Amino acid sequence: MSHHDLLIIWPGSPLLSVLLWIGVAVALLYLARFPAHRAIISFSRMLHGALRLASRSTLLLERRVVVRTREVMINAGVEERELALERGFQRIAEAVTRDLSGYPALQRTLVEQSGEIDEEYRNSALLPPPPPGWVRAVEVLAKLPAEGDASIVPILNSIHKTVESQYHTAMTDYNRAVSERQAILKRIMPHWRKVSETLDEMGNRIKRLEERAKLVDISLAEYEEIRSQSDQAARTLTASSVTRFFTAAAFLFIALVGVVLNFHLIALPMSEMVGGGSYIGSFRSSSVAALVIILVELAMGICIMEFLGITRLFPSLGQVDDKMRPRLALIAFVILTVLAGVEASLAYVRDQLAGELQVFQQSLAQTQGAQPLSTWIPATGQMVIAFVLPFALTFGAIPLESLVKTGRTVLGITVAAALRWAAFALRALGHLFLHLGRLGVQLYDLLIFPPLWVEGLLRYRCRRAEGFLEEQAPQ
Amino acid sequence: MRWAVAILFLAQAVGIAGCTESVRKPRAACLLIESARLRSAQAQAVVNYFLSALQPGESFGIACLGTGNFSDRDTIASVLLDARPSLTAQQKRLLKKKFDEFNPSPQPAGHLDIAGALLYAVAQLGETNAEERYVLILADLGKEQIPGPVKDFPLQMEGCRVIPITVENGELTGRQQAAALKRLEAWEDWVEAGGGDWQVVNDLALLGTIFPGS
Repeated sequence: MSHHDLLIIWPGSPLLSVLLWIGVAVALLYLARFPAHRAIISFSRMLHGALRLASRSTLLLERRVVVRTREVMINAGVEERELALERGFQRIAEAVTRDLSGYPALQRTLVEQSGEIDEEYRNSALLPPPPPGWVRAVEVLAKLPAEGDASIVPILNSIHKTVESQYHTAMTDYNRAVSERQAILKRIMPHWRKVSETLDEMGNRIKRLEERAKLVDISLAEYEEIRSQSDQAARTLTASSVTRFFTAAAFLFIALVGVVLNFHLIALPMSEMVGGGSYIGSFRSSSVAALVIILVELAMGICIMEFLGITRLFPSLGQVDDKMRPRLALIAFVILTVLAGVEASLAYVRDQLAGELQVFQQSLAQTQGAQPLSTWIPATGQMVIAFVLPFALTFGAIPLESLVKTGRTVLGITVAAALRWAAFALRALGHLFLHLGRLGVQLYDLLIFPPLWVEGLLRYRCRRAEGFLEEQAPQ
Repeated sequence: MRWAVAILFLAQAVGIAGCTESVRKPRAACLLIESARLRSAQAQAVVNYFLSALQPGESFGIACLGTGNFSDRDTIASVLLDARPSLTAQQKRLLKKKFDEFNPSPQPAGHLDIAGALLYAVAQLGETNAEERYVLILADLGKEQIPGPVKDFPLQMEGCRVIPITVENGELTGRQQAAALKRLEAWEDWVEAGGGDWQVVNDLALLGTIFPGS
């Protein structure tokens, strides 16, 4: 007897058996209706409650992430503005030191110029013109009648002529003296011009200082805004972080492409040095060696940028003595140059190997392959690329720093957004389960609708009978 | 921040390493060519393929199946390629020259000692310590039977793959074809009983998947 046969209640009539089983099931379901309803509702409410709780927890977590991200962002912004202010003040200090150190010289120049002007001015003082009384005597003599005493007239004429000639001589001397004074005054002109230029230069320097002070004022205002932790500052910082993150990522992608190109330039010829058949782990030794060279170059590039104070990825490197920094940067630069030279040599070897391989392949195929137009151009090109790329990749430290600094903020923003969506999804799911529970109750009742219909009918009759009795009772 | 930089560096290293080819176990191959087919286009194609596919540090040998009793004098050339690519090309060129200049002795009318050559090739490949070993046979295996005494010889072929390359064998009757197939199955059973793998190659293009180049 199979399991199938066990289910046959009415032998020879499976349909009847099925109907009987349905009847039994409906009867059992009807009997278990209220506990089943309670179970369904409880289960759906339990799921709803659990998901709601999870949603609230997720929201709380999201708030914490948002607050933490904001703190990190504000701190980073404050640090950045402090650096900007520090640099601004440094520039002002340098400008003031440079300009003020020139002020004594300028002052000396001005004093010298003014002394010379003063002296020239004094030299140019005019001689007094002929005394007016002397002029009047000449006028009186000139007005005397010419037809007077014959003995006096010649004397007067003689006096007149003498006076006139002296007058002309005096005027000539006077005019000459005036001309000389004018020449002296003309010599004062360059001094005035120099004084004017000196004053202009001083004015320009003060103007530049004012411009720098304005920039510092702007940075200071931003710094104050960030320090106040206002929403506006947080929004500005968020937008700035996201923009800088993607810009830095784009630049780093370009740098990564450069690294891959660099790697392919030196991986094959490296097997001439370390052998082409050995492996370290699951990678060729030559590939690992090429990778090590590139990573050392990148590390040297980062060190150079750190020692020059362009980036601040490692605080310990930033604490190195100021005198030591240029020396260490020079050492890193020398190492980088040596490695770049090694890369250039390897690139040349690569070209040679590729050429030899090509010739061998052609000999296998017994064909005379087309000769390249020029052999030295690709070889030189590869060498130049291999030499220049390490230095170019040095500048990758700047976007790297930017990416690392803004990465924390962007990660926080992303995680917060994900948590927000998760909380929303959990809440929606909870409501869905609650309504599914209600729907389950309705579907349950739908399955047992025949006994429910009978029950409803009986109740209706009972109620009608009770109503009839109640109506009869007062009578 | 230092952690972030370290992680970025590591990711970069892994990324570049991912660009490189995956690990390849050291390989060694031995090609057994019937003397009558030594100058065939098929033999030239197989030798050329292997010379271009072999990497530094790998081994390759060519032997001629020309006598009824195979010995090491039938080896045409064998080479363990240097780890430096510049020397590898020279070694390959030399091997190719030896192969081209080899003059096989006239093939005897009797059977070929393929089983002896196979045993010899397996022994030679075992000495290379290569992890992947290949024996390629360019001969009509369907024509040759495994000699009785040799058949009972316990063959040690773990890690070794025997690759018979299908050759032109003229018009065969149905009966002859059935007999040839039976002999081929006997060869396969013998190799597999010794722990080796058996893979018949009908198309030389398949060599690229069996023994990939750079």
